[in-house]
Amino acid sequence: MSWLISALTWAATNQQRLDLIVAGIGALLTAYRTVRASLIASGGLSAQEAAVYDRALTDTLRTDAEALESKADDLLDELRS
Amino acid sequence: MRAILLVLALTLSGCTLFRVQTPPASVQVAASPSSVSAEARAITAAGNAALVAIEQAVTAGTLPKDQAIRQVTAIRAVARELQRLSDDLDRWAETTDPTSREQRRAAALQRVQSVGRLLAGFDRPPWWGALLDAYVKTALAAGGAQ
Repeated sequence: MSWLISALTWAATNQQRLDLIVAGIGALLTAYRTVRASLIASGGLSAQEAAVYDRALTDTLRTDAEALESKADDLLDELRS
Repeated sequence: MRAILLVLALTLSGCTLFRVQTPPASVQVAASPSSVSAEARAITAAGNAALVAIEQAVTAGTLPKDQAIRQVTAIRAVARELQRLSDDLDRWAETTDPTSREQRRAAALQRVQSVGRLLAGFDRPPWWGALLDAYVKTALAAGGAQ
């Protein structure tokens, strides 16, 4: 997940860049929520199917959290050496 | 529509930074595992930025090592809680019964609040605000439509 950390570091070094990314992802999430709600309301997507999409996002949270823990461990090792 | 949803889900999954702005009230929907996980990813993003800031402060000599170790240890604990939160969200997503879903949502909210308790232990270092902001948005997402 080093690419993830590199990308975050790259984005965090420039406020405009960060704002742009934030706005883009916010718009994507809004679109995701809207489409998901529309599909469920129209009967085009069952609760079980919606769970599959939910799992896709939950898995990325787990991956990100594991990467954060790993980076914290590395930094702790460095600080204690 | 399904194809659009799939593309959006995959795109969101692939995003490296997930800090979400509150959408207009007209498009807000009830709390869901996906909305909580999306907001929680902003906590991991803020945590990564915090680790970078801590490392730089130690290098610059503006943050003593013992304080840095305490801060990094706390961020590590936050990361562990977020991993447990992802398990809670999985259980929530797998449940279809409305009563059980509400119970799972409440369990996820409690897990998010445990992250808040960890954040409360910080003495407000410079990067603390971003973490707190992401935490509040995650707690709101777990609490339902606002």
